[in-house]
Amino acid sequence: MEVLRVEGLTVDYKAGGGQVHALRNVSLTIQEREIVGVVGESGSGKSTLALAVSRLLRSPPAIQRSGRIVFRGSDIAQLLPSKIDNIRGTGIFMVFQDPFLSLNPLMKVKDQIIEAISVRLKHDSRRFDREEAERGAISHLKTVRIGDAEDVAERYPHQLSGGQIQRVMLAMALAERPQLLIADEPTTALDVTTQSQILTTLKDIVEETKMGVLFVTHDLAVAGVICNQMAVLYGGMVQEAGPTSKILFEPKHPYTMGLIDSVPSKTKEEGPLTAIRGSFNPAGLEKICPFTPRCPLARDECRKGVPAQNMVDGTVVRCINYGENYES
Amino acid sequence: MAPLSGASTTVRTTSRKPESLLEVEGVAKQFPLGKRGLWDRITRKRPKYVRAVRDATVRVRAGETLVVLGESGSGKTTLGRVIVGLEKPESGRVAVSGDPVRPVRESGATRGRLQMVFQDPGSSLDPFMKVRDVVAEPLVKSSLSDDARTEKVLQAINNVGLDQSVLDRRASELSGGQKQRVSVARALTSNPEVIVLDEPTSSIDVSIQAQVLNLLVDLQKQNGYAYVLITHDPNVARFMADSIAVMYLGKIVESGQAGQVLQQPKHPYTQALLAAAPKLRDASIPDVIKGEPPSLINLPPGCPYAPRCPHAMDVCGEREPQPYLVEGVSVACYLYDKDVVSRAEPAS
Amino acid sequence: MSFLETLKKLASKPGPLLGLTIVTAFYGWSLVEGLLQLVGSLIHAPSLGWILLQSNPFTPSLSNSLLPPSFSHIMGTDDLGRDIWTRVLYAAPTDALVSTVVVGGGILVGSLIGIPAGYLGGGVEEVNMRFTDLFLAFPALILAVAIEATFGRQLIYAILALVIVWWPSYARLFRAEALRIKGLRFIDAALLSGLSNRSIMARHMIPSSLNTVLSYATLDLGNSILVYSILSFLGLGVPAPAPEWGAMTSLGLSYFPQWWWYSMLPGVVITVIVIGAALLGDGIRDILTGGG
Repeated sequence: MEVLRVEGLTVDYKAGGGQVHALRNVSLTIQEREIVGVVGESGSGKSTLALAVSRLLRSPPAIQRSGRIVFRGSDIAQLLPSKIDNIRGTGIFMVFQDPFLSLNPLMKVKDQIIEAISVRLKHDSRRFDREEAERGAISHLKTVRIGDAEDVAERYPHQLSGGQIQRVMLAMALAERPQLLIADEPTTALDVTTQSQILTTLKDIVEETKMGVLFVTHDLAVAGVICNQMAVLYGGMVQEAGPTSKILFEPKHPYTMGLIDSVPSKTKEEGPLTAIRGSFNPAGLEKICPFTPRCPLARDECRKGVPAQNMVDGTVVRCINYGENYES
Repeated sequence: MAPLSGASTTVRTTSRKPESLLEVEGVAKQFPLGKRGLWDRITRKRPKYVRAVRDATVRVRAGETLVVLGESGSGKTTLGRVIVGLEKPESGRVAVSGDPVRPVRESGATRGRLQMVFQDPGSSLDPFMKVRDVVAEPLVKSSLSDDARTEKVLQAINNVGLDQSVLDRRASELSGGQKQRVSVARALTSNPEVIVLDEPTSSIDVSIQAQVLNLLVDLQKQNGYAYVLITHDPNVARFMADSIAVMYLGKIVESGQAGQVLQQPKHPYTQALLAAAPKLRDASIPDVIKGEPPSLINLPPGCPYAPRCPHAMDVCGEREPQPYLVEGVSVACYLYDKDVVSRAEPAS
Repeated sequence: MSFLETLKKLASKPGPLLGLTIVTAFYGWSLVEGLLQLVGSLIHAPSLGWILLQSNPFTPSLSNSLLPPSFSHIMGTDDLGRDIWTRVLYAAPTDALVSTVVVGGGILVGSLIGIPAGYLGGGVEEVNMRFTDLFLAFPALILAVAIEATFGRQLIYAILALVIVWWPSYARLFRAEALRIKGLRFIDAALLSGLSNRSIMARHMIPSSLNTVLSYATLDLGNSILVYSILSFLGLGVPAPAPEWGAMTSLGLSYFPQWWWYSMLPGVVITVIVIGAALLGDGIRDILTGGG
């Protein structure tokens, strides 16, 4: 069952004297129990996408030009802010990159999870029983593998480590049982050993709650390990999208290939790393394929227009080398 | 070469000696926790300390890279700062070409010979300064003429692959990757012998990281710098390292040749760390370490990794293991003490 | 961001643009008029001070006493028949001078005390900040009264009193900034370059902290004018017959409400300038924290 469908989303930012195209014609779908990765570097638009779907974009300066964000059958991009509150939490839940900004510093961990439980109960029109909620909170903490759950429940956020806070967020997700979880770089600030624990926990709760996950990251390896489907963003556009194994083992877009090669996988004695030359600069890229200045396979045709998406062997690719059609 | 009369007693020859350029021995560094107010002094409350680095010993040769591999709380950054003199250790010594490294505020023979590149490009450069002034800063105290300084700045900027038009821009106007290059350029102008790089590519895009790493390798080949590269990323370690020191909670738990440490890790923490890093094109989530690392303030006695170690024995909780030399690699783990292993029962 | 770019950014939004216009007009006029008055008094030709004005701000004209605002007298006339708008313009440089010296002095003394406190910490911080706390407790008005009672009623003493009570806030600001900047990596780099503490404070601390303090200082210009106006309202400013905004407002009270313009209009001028400074300060703060 489809949890989220983004169709042709285009978002601009007002910046300096003009406009920056943060997202252009971005489409993707998320099914239940599916973890869809959005992979991109700085300037790719991935954070804008996460904020747009959760309706947290500040507008102005962001302006949505076109597209729909379909959740539970209706376009939430058009919903009034007052109605959005009904969706947050039990419908769409967000886990952010900086754990220390996520929780209320003045409330005990236990109370914040109990609050999440009560929101869910209210949504389901069920009675709230304090003792039952407390037991539920401890149980959720144990499910997300927090050691000494009873102890941790009585603590305040500043007494927890980054990894523990992210686990508390996942416990709250368990409590609210949203249909869609948006995770914006949830493990970037964590150590590698903690990260692998969080990723396993995330997979477990996805199984249990059947929720769909939009997993935004810059780390290809992390996406590879946890996502079923992946979309690679560059210059605000989806350049390649499809099943994770296809993207990682049979990458088609030159940017995807360059990104995979950039991850160091050899010693310096074996020669320099294959680096993508240059860096992303949005100036002058509006009407051409944005990767052109850095692409090793760039040709004149790349500047004729913005390439349209083509379906090639189970993957969506936006590159002239796979079909010379352009977006109008 | 006979020393000129009246000059300093240390003479640096142009050829690099084959022995270690950088020597770090038995370094320990701790930080007091919180402020001691008047009341605490009156009641003679014992101050608490964060023991960030305990007994660190490493050596690096000219033209080689030592990677200090560890996660947050491992003490790797503190070790890097002690090496360049930004922190004064409680015990131990750091020497470059035999000259002891003095803390930065004291004048000493080693100023300019050790440099550092920091992790966060955003705070590495004074946002209000022009790039040319940033890169020239290490030369402020030198006796070079203005022309000579400009020459060195130009050279450094070119060496890091930046166009000289960047010199007149303000640091705040540059991208993350450009800022890191300027950071590296600044580290080059004083012709250092040792460069400590603290997570130099962690805060920039992975596609730019590859460029910066290639650049660092080239610079080292041209100039023979000794690098101490601090990172948490085993992939970066694999690419850059000649030797590796793995740190956990302030201790170096394993150190040796890069190939050996990475292919055949001996310490249980090294094994867990290497296994936990997600590998591209490998869909299994490694889930090997349980629990959380304990705090650096109330360290349990014995090996710091014991609480989480699947092979922990009774003795591990009693005394910290000394490093054992095993196949050319130094490991601080009782598993490699033959007497202990034969006697001990594994703790449940 | 360069000065020109900052100006352009300020001019792009209505609020800051208004503030910029008001503040520039006020200080620009005060500079010109102030120089004329200064030169005039030096060469004993005081009439230089009202060359650009409609009439002599001192000459009474009893037949024109208390005329309401009109085309020939934009703000009406006071009890002695003097054109109020002329007197307002003549008095402007005083307030401009006071605000500049007080805020400038505050920044100067505040930075000298606050930056070392934040950067060096330890004993220096303790001493400097306790010293600051001492002065923070002084009430401006009472101090002004005390100083002027002792030394006499002159502009210089009013300014002195104000500077004394003004610098502690800046000391705190600069200390907080120094603490923040101290933790940034480029300070470590400067230490590694062998720079002395004094060099680091001058080269790095001052520019970075000035950035934050500037937006507060712009707002403060308005504050200082307000407080000085209160002082002059209470009779502690420049003695009569020299015109002064606060004093005019005070004198005009006796004629309120029938001849409302005498008291209100100079008050309106003060308000406009204070608001202008606030708008400008806000605009600068937005640029420094938002874009930049």
